[in-house]
Amino acid sequence: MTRLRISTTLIPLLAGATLASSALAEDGEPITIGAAIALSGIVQAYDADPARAAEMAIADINAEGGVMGRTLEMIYADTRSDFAQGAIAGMEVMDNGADIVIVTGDFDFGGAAARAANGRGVLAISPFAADPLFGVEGIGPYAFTFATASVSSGTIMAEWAYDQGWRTAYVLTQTTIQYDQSVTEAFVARWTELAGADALLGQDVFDIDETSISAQITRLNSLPEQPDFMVLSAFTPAGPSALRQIRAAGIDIPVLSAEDMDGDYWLDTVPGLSDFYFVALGSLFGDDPRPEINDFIARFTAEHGDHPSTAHTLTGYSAIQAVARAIERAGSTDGDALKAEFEAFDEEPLLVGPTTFTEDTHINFYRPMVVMQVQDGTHSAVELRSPEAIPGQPR
Amino acid sequence: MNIAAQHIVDMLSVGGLYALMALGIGLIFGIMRLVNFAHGELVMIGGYAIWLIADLPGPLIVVLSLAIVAIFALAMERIAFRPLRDASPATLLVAAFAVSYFLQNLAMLIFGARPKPFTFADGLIENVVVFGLRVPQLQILSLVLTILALAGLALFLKRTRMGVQMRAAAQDFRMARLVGIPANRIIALAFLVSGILAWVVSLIYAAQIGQLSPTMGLQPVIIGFVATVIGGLGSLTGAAIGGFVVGCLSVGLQIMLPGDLREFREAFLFAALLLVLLVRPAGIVATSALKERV
Repeated sequence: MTRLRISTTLIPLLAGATLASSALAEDGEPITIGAAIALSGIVQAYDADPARAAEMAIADINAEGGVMGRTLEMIYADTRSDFAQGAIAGMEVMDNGADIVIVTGDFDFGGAAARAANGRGVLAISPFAADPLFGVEGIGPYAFTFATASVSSGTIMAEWAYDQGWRTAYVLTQTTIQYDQSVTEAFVARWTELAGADALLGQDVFDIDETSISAQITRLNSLPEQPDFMVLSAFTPAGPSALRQIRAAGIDIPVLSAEDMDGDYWLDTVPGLSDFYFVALGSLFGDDPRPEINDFIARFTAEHGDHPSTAHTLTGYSAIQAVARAIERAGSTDGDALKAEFEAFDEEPLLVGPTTFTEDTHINFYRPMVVMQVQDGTHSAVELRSPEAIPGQPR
Repeated sequence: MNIAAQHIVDMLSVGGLYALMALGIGLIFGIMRLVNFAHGELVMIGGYAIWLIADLPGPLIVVLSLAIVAIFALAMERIAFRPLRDASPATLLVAAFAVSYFLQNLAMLIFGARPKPFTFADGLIENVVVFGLRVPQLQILSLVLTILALAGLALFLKRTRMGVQMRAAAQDFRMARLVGIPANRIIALAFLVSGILAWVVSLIYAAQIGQLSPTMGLQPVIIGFVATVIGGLGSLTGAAIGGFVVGCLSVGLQIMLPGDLREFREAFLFAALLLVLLVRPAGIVATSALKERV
């Protein structure tokens, strides 16, 4: 009997010891963030800087002792800028122990990896996919993006232009990707709401495969009355090309774009550019109204030799900030627990701005953006502003 | 009235560019039965070549960049296509895709995937007023270059010994060899000429869009191929006409379609092109080149 009693006390003890040792092992083990992003191919240039920013956030968090006593670590798998290869890269990082998966910042390019993670109940984060489809509806309940939605950009553009006293607009949209069409739809809806249906003098479209938009320019030039400004909703490389042809044709009215024209790497395409405005997540040029953005840009420039190519880079840092806070609060890296913590974010202060998620909305709508301008080929920040009323998206 | 004239200038300049592209593809197809999808990469290489040496004096830029494109065109033929000369057209097509992807990725490796601004001869995008029309200098230059290239090619093909040999080879390659036309030399020459045409396109196209990217040759090559088919595969005159037809149709549709339909312009364009093929299945200028040879 004595022996039995000993064993009954021993077993839980032993079991406890094993549990403790496994907990200890987990304590020492790093939390793995798997980046299934483009390390080669056409999208590589867009994924690179946000990934660098994510590494900076990881270094910052590890320097402060990590999360729950564990360090963060990033592992990579290459999607090769291929839609289908994305799913394989997503599987690969999860097989190598990723607790959270980060994917390319685009609904099409990042979608496959995000779906792979979603299928296993692992959190799939796209730092900067700006189409509201990236989330519960288009991917699944475990997909989140840290971008500000395309419709927010379109709304801010309309509201800001109206505040400038401009009353007539013309819109030229590139139809290649959904993003630009969403920006235009939101702009047109908000603009006609503010300035009236007559305030839109015309709309035209072009596609990426057009070698020249001369026909579109001739149409704009032959309007009976020139508009106060025009919206160019297009992404690089076609956007800057269109802008070059617009300015070359002698059209000098202000041109307003969304954040896909962010960055100064294309600026030489339009020599001596002036009166060009766009909205962006932040200014890359040290004059953002928010000092923490300027500090980050300065650090990034010191570490990598150049300022980030676009302000999307901010979302890479913010995604890691958010992940660390959610793990800390949940006390676990379990996908469901993290999802619940993310959905509890209410104006969570992150580098890119206050971030809110709900059960159905895994993207941000009412977050401030910076209106930027280019005058004489030089960028500067104009003002920080939030959308007032996004059409079809009440606050 | 001015607007109508402006539209015509637009049509001609877009059509001319497509015609040059179609000729480069049509030339190689006529001789080798090869749809050279890597032709677009020659355009890309031309753009990067001009950009790389843009600080040199003008004439030197022209000579050097032209030489670089010519070397790539000849190397493409010698390394990738000559060993496959007797292979089936399907094998050749796959080889052309392989060359195309290889060159795209090589450019990506060297220059990165993000587009580079093309700053050569920026003055060209300013306007001049001709007969009350505001025309960008570039549009004039591209029209002049297109006419020069087309006229030069026509003269070369009609008036020179090599040109006549090339036309003979394009029409019936085996017969041409039987009467003593040196195959290797004529094919290499065809690649050289198509390289020169690609260089002209790269100069105009890069200056127009103001940017360079590794995949910039993709769209022109597809539209060029379509133009070759419409014009009549195997006919050089047909290729030139096909280029102008596709260019004019595409600009014309953009002008005439009402706003809501403009988004689907491509659908109308290709429907119109299908119609052309229904009426003339062998293209606008039908040749005997495509018929099965015995």
